[in-house]
Amino acid sequence: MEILLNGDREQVAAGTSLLGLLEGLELNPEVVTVSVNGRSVAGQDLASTYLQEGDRVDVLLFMGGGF
Amino acid sequence: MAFSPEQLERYSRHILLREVGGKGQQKLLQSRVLVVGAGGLGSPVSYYLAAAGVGTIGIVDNDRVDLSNLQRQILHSTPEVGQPKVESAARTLTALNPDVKINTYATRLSPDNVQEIIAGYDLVVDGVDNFPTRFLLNDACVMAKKPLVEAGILRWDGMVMTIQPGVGPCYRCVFPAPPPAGAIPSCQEAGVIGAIAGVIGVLQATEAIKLLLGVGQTLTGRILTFDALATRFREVAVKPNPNCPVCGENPLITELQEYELACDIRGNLRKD
Repeated sequence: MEILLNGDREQVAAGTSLLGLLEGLELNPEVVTVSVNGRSVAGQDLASTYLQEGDRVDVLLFMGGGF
Repeated sequence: MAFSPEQLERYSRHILLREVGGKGQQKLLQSRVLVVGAGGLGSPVSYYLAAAGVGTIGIVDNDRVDLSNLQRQILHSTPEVGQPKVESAARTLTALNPDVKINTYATRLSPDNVQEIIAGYDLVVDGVDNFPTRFLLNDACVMAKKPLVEAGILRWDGMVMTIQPGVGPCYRCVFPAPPPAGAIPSCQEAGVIGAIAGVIGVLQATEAIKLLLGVGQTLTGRILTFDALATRFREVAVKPNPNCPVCGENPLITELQEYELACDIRGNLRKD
């Protein structure tokens, strides 16, 4: 199925969780926040939240620097 | 209040704009903005706000100028290495525009002083270098219903969002809690392209000026990210989070707390 990942069309297997998506991207879930269709998903819900066809998924990196 | 001939000339390119005009420029001259951090982001933010004639600018920073700052912190110059950043900042900004009153706070924001400091300003711009202060500032601004222009930079990336409490999402709606200790490298550890601080800081200054004038559409409910390597901006729409620990329906955070223990101690002790 197709999702919109960070603005780009992306094919993912049906039944993929957000945690699975991050693992596939080799991203440590601790250093990002994920929003699905504009709503932020809590870290503990990443494993139990499954992607749906057409979801708009944005992965945002923590950026703490003002530096 | 009438403009002096010098002011008419200094601000003429603003006054020409339909969205600013004489009235808007007067508004800017009567505005008060707090810039937290006189570093990479705080430098371009305060530089442009001073140039724009924002009447009162508060600068919070308890560091001294280090040679390694000068790759990006354009408020400070080589002869000022070793000087308190707030003093160096005040000198630079006053030289640029003597119209502007600069209030300096050579202190670190804490739950004990943040509310009192932000109370005297119309809006706050975040240019801090660590997560504990970032979350503290968000929580304090949400509680005081004070607009906050939030941003962060790292390596070749940056992000900006404008927080208008009660109107759109806050920082915690998107990033509910600080990352675990040591998970995120600091700029000192990871590096940062100096010019990124300019790109992102100038976006923050633009957001601040729009908020003060009440014109245009701000980045409220939108996060703008910038990937400098690809030269690509991306906009992420974000909604208020009903489970947000500070501005949600049942907030867990009802008073300010120190977040140091939850975070990377190295990040707090850095001299950067």
